[in-house]
This record gives sequence, C-alpha cells and structure tokens, in this order.
Amino acid sequence: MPSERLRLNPRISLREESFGALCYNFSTRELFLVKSRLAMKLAELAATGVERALARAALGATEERFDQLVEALVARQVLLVEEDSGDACDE
Amino acid sequence: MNDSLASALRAGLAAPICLTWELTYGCNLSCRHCLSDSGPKAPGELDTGEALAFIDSFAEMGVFYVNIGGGEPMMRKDFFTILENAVARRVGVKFSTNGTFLDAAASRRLAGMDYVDVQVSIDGHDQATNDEIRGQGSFDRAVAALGNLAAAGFENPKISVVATRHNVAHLDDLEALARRFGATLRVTRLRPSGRGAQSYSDLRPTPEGNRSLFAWLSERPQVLTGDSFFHLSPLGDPLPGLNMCGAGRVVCLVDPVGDVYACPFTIHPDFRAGNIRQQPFSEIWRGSRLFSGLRAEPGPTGCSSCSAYAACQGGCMAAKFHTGAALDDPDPECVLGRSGGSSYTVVSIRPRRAAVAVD
Repeated sequence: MPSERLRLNPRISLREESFGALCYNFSTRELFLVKSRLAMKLAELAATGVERALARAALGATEERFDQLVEALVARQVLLVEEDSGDACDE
Repeated sequence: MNDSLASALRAGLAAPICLTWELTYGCNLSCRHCLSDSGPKAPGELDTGEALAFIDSFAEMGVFYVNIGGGEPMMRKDFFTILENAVARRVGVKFSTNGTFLDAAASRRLAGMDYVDVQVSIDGHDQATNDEIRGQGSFDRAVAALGNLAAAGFENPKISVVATRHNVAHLDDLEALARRFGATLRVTRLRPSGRGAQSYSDLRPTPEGNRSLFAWLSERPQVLTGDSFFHLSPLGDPLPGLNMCGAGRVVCLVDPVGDVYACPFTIHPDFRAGNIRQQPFSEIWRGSRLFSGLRAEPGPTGCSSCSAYAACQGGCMAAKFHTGAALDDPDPECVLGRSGGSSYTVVSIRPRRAAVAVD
C-alpha cells in the first residue's frame, strides 16, 4: 500500500511570530494564525515534502493527535497530501 | 477576529503583514482627496538599485505583500522591474493605479505575473461624479484600463472606490460596473490627509451616508474594504477584517524617498519612524520608539472608556490627528456623535516637502 507524503502548499507563506506563526495564502489572499508549535514544526518538516509516518515519528505525537493536526492543516490548505509511489529515488 | 489574535496583533509583529510603498509622488492626475498630495515627483526618490535592495530587505523579514501606490506608480520607468523582483522573492504585490498607463501591452504583462493584484481607482459610478474628484477624462481612462485587463485575461482586478458623500448613494452602480469587468469592488474610507484635508468637509459622507454605507457593506462581505470602516462598527456586527488600527502594528508606509511612517494616512513628521537610507527597515520596524508607543495598550483616558470602544477601537488615528483631535479623542466621524458632530478643524499641513530625506 502506498504511503503518503505531506508537502507544504507552495502558495502558503508562513512566518514565525511570538504567539506562533502567521500564514498567508497567496491563492485565497487569506491571513490566519497558527498557534500550535507542533503544527509549525510539521509545516517546517513538510517544506520539502516528508513521508507521513516519518513526520509523526519526528513530532513524537500520538496517531490521533497527529491525524487531527494534519486534518486541520489540510483544511486550511497549508498542507497537501500526496500519494508516495516510492519511486522518488529511481531516476 | 478573536481577542487573543487581536491583542497579539496590537502588540506588533516581527514584520508587517503588508506595507504600503508609495513608489513616487509623481502623478498625472491631481485628485482632490489625494492622501499623499501627489503631483510632481519628489527630489531624491529611491532609485532602482535602492528599490530592489528594499525588496530584498522585506522579503527577508517575511512581509507577505506590498501595497504599491503613489502618485501613479506606473509612471516609474522601472515599475515592472520592481514588480517582477518582488514576485520573484515571493512578496505579493497589490498596486493602485489610475489606469492611464494600463494599455494592452502592460495588461498582458500583468496577466502573466503571479502574486499581483491590480486596483484601479474610480470614485464615481459615472463620468461626472468621478471626474469632479479625479479630473477630466479620468473615468474613461480607468474604464479603458479595466477593458484592457479583461481583454488580456487578467483575472479579478479590483475597482477601488473612496467613499464620499457624492458616491455612497451609487454603490449598486459601482458594483455593477465591477461585475461588467469581472472585477471585485473595494470601498475605502476618505481620510483628511494630504489634499484630503482640504476637501474633507465637502467630500466626507454625512452621518446618514455612513449609516447607509455600513448597512450596504454589511450585506456584501465580498466587497473589500481595506479594513477601513471599523470606526462604524458600533452600528452593527463588524465588517470582515481585523477591525483595528494597524498603524505601526501590522502595517506601515514607506514613501518615495524612503521615509517610514506609521500608516498611509500619516505622512507627517510626527509619525515618521525613520528612513531606510539611514537605517535597515527591520530595525525601524522593530525598534522605533514611535511604533513601540503605538503598540502599547491605550490608557483609561479619552474615548477608551466609552462602552463602544471595544467595537470601534476609537476609530482612525490619522483622521483624528488631521482634524486637530487628540489621539484618545473620538473619531471625527464617531457614530455616537461624541466627536462634536461636524465641528472640527482641519490642521493638516503639507509636511512632505520639508521631510525629504537627504541623499
């Protein structure tokens, strides 16, 4: 079964602030706040694409918490979920 | 907006969400309400190299987008060079133009660019209403520009309207004009800054006009407002947006000679935080005493003790300043009438010529 990769939406600009981070979506022109440090760390990991299971391990989050986090970030279009065919290194 | 976000934003950010950058004071029009008193180009405006270095600095700070204005920014020969550099650095651009130079070729070039919004200024639903404020022929040129953008396939331009007592009754017509060109309507507040100081008493909406304007906007969340009508919030539910004064907190203005001011409506020595030729922009943003003061919570004086303060935040700092009010006084268009109705004194001066930085 193919795994999933998480990738930061290239249309998203994310900036760290004292209270978390500010996100700006260049497609929708929406500005919003990300307060969770875990979410910020996930967004950083996903900047160049990360395998879902590896990301969860890196964050040390429970499966339930991690899934909630991914769902919330996908809903805000911060993260894109891509099917990982596993042939990324077959060039 | 929830309270925690509001207080976080009021306390200031690591970088502006956006900054307004007046590229030039040069303008081919002389609109009666021009907030920057534009006309002739100012001596010592930033050259191309300085402009590109400035883009680098705010890209490094993570500024999301820049509102480019003037003057008429398209009068600069390096206008597209500046735009293309900003976009290449992933800094979004929203620029305001009177449309004169938005010909077919310029429109095609813009249509091929990412991260760019175009705001064409029109201040009346017809030629007579618009041209009385913006000058003869300006309505036709702006409409032609919108036609050029549409023909070039530029998606969703904005028609930017400054609300006046002469056009608030015609917002439906302006909305129809926007629809005709696949544009979004943007309506913003008239401030008594620049030449707006002299025309404020003639152009500002009446109290009844402000009430109908607020009701009209409340029914149309799709109409953009530049977050400029929070002084009317006690009239009902707040309009979409941050609904707070962002001066020195989330926005600022950089003028053509590199002076940094708290907001687009405070081009005055009292609100000058520094100059980017003399100090890095990041230092000015983070360390200016002026901006630190603006980020402090207001004391329990003046209108902050009013029951409506949570809704209107005391209104627009610039509107108060330019009408001679103290900064903790009510907004001159206070909907509760606490500003003393229409009795105000315009004190705005023309500081720009005196404040030009040394090269």
